[in-house]
Amino acid sequence: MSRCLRYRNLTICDHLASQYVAGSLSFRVRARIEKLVETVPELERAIANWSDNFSPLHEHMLVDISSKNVDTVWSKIDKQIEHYERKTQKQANAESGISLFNQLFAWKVSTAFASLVAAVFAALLLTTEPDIITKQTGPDYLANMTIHNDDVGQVQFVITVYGKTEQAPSKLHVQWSKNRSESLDVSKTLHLWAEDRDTGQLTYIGIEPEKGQSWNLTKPTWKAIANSSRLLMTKEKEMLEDNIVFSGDCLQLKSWKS
Amino acid sequence: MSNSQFVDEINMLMVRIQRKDRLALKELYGHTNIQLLSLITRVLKDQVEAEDVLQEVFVKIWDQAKRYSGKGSAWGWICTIARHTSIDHLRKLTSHPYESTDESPELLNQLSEVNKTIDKHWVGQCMEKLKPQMRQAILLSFFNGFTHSEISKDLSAPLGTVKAWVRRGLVELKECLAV
Repeated sequence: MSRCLRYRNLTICDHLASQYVAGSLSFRVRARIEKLVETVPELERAIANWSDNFSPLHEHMLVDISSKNVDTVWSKIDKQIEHYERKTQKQANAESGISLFNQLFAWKVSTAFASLVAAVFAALLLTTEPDIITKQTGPDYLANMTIHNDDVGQVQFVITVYGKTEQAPSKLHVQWSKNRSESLDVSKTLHLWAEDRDTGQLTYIGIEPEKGQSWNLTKPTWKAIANSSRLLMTKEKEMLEDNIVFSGDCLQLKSWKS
Repeated sequence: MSNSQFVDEINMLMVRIQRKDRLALKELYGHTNIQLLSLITRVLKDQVEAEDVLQEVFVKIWDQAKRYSGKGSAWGWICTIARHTSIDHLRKLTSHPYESTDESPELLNQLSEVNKTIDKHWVGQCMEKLKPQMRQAILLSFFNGFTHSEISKDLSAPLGTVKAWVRRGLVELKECLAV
């Protein structure tokens, strides 16, 4: 079962939530759960239930404290928030200023670039035979694949997926990173899966193509990639958590034309 | 103010805090500072340190208010933030994260006293029904922020056994609360 599906299992969610609220997890594991909560509503609900179950324990086990400093503490909180808000506002202003400058700068650069491209293209049209000019398109989908569950998150290879054109079917290409981990054995066959962004269902795409070769996609496998949130590579054809070697979010790229 | 009124009040204040209403944060502080300071002092056992953490907790509430999605009560969410912040502070303070404590029997006694006067489905009553080792393990993590390995050292029990106590204890607790 993939990591995402595993955490949607109610029993696992409940177990993690109980340990999270009970306080027995290390800082690192807790931070990881807080990250997961952003994408797994079942886990968020389970944590809320356990927090509500446990909160009465505090109310009945209060320790004696002195309340003489509570006003001083509030003044410090108020000052800190004031400072924090001013800083946030400054950052927001700076970002919007930079953004406006960038937009203007980008507009000037792109205008100059477009003029240059138009000139080159016109020269090509005038000097080249029409059948030599082929249609060049960028990839439609891209996934930066990292070692599964690795906190370092160094990209090991990139999967690019190209849509169907008049001349060619849809294609998938795997390009290994020059800086990939040296310990990795890249000669082994890997199996590619696409995880549906809505249902989490996994679709088998096929075996990784020969190094440097592209891979033609069928209509169903193209659709599975187009609807996926994540691509996964397993060392065996069976989809088990232990078999997952690489994973990466599948990004849809905006067309250069739009 | 009854408990449910208190919980509703905190929920409403939280909605206002999400809209960056500073006055709502001040009201929240007024309603909860004693309870939260007590909760934090319970973990840190030092009120001066606890006051610093209380300040940190309120800044977190302000900063992370958007993360509270309305699932469960805002008070439960705040208590969890306060306890986790206290535990992190405690772990930073101690050069060795593990520090033995002899207060477990005191915690258990306090829990028993409370149980005499409260509803039978209350979490404390359910805690009382757990086997002593399970109860002790859960309380050590809850009030002392002990990790599994720290509980294992404190109770002189193997790590695997401690993990099983905590896991089974929490399952039994959940079953008891659901009855």
